[in-house]
Amino acid sequence: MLKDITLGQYFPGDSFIHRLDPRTKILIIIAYVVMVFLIQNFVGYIALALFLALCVAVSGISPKYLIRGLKPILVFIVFTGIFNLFLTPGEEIWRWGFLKITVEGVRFAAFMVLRLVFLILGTSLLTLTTSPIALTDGMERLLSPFKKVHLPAHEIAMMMTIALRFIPTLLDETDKIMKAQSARGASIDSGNIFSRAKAMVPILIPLFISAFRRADELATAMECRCYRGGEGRTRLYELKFGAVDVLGWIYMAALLAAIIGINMIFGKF
Amino acid sequence: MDNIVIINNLVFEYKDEDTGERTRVLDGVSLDVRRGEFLAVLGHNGSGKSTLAKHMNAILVPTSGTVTVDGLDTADDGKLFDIRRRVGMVFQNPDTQMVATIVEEDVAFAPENLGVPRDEIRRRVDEALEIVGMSAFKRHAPHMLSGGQKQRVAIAGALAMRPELLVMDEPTAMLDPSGRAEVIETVKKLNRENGMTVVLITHYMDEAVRADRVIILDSGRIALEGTPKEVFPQVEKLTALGLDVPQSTYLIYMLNKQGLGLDATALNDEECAAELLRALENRGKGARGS
Amino acid sequence: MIRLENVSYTYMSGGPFEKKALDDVSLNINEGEFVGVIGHTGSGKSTMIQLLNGLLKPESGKVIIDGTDLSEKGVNIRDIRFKVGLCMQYPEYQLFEETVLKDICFGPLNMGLSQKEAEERAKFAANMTGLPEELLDKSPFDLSGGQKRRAAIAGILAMEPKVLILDEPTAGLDPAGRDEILFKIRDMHKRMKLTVLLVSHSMEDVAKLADRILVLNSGRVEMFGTPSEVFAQSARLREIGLNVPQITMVADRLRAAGADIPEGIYTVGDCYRILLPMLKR
Repeated sequence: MLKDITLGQYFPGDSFIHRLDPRTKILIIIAYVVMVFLIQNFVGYIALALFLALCVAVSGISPKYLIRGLKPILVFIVFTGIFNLFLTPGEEIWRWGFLKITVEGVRFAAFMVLRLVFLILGTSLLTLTTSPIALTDGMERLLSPFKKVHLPAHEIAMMMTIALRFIPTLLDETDKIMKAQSARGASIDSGNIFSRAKAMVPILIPLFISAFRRADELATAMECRCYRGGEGRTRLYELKFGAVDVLGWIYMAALLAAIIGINMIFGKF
Repeated sequence: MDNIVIINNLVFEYKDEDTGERTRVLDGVSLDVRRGEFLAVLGHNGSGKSTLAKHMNAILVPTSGTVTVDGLDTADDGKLFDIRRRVGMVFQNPDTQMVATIVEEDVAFAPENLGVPRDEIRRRVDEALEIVGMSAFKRHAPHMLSGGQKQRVAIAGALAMRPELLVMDEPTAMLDPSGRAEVIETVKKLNRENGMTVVLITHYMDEAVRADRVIILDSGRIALEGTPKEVFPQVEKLTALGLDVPQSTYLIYMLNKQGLGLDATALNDEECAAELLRALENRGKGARGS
Repeated sequence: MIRLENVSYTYMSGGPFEKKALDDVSLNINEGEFVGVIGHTGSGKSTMIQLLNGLLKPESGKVIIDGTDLSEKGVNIRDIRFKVGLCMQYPEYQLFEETVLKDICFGPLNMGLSQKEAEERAKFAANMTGLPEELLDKSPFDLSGGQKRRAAIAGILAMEPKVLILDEPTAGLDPAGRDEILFKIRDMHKRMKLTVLLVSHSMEDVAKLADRILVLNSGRVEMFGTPSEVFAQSARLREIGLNVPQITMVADRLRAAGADIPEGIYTVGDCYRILLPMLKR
């Protein structure tokens, strides 16, 4: 049940996308997110879909795997769609009792669902092709100009690394504790919401305690390995922009121009 | 200098935050760790073993008495990182020692903290992974490794500091037999081939018998000290201290209680069988002779 | 009491990481028996014990507990869990209540027992595991490592299961703590007439206690017999990556050198009784 989560997983590889500097990828994903919200008509989404399909093809990640990443939030997507479909006021095209569907509703629902799907697919592609450590490195470097205004860039990156490192461990642990408590007759997946929340207590308390214990042990281990914050640290991998990054920026700029062009030509639907 | 660590009359107490009660964990320990030796520290839970280990790299500092590492006093705050750099530490839980999400990045963690130049980090990481036999796994994620492999990576992470001393606090307690064997072989090899000084804290006798020297802690004091062959034949004392004796040693101890006068220093199956065969042969000769 | 008929189980079946954990396993365990379960990591031990109390469902084959086929419709899996008490590895990490007593009561209360009954059972179970009564009102997190372990075992025992399965109950304990727990387990087995499955890496521990030893290797039953039958095949045990007691190795070496020592020696006492007359002659 906990194994379906693809977000945060990394598939090592040597594709064009894999070789991009993480900073480039982070900047591209920011531009991508902006575009997802900027697009005002379906032609724009087609252009974006083509771009995304190209990226997926180049990355060598199986599209099936990428799409499976949508599964955990499927309920959320469907809910968003239905919500917008029925509750947007406008020109009525269908009515049954108090339920009505409007032209605006259909359009709005489709847009919202598309936006969500594009967001998830894009960010999944980023995490699937970028090692977590490269990602946090990229973040640290991109944020480091803000150190002057006392933004703890190194500490934020370190926290993210450790969080990513321990997600699989904590998932394992959760699984184990759930099994141990069900062996004592705890019923986790039955009953109403209230009794289910109550049933979570025997799982959450041991989980928190073990997380704290781990944090404590990890802190000691880090101290033993001479950790003293970001000051004076060197890195095994220094980030360097290369020719691929320049290409990446050019593609992105071209896409951005195309989207703006499409918006202007086809207007708002 | 012959001794890498010199511990002089070390006392350590901690105060309970709630009750204000002071508990004495170490009670006057004096101990030298010689350069190049393999020292095993034994004792039941709560005997002060782990506390002693944490004094060797200034994670803890003495309440009274002194600890010096390579001539540096651990109570001197200014020398903290010079001391820690010299002492590699490996702990019990393989899951809480790794920081990074990829093996080689994790091994690089300590040299990165020390500000070692990039080329040098690369060299150290490759070398350390080679020594522990984990080079093939350098791009793997830590959570996909077995317990024994994780501990070997933890050892590599310590070695990347180029330490003078490796202190291991029950590194095999959470491992299965094959994982234990992996780790102990690695440590033994490090000591023998690379001349690494090793302090191994454990409660497994079969690990301790492979050390050059054994000390046994009890209630924060050194209760016994000597080579394995001096310490383990003292079956009654060890049992009283809540420790095991290797089955081979115990068998000979029981036979000797019947006045057989066997060599009591057999520590493993090979030595024990050899000694018993020698005795059986002598009996045979004696029987034929009379 | 426990019967497995051609049970197979595969993890992540169909995917690229498919792994056959159990492969056509059939076996019988009698009521009141003490069985040691041995096998290295990945041999299928933990899968097997999870199948026995319904935490996992077999892919094919039948798991029959006390005459009930777990795969049959209408079988309440919770009732099976109360009948087959499973104490997982490092069970102290499942403690969560404010007091030790409340924590031990968790299982019995889930069974629908009254507070009074649950507490009675909890006190009895605590006593069986050797947990002093004055600790029952303490927070479980203030106990020592060995005491936590015992409190966790008591939490299972208080459900008064017919079968008690313990996965590595001595992992991480020092020799004195280990001996105490093993002694208590033997005590429970005898006094409560429990069927016990003890999963362990330590051949020495299993050899001391078990009536029969089950050796699993890559998802199959490799051996299932009395300790002396199993340890008589010490060469095979070592071949599949398992340790044998040191004393068995000593006996094997003596026999190989021509001494008249029988096969299947696994305790120091046995070895001593055989050697003493030979040496004293």
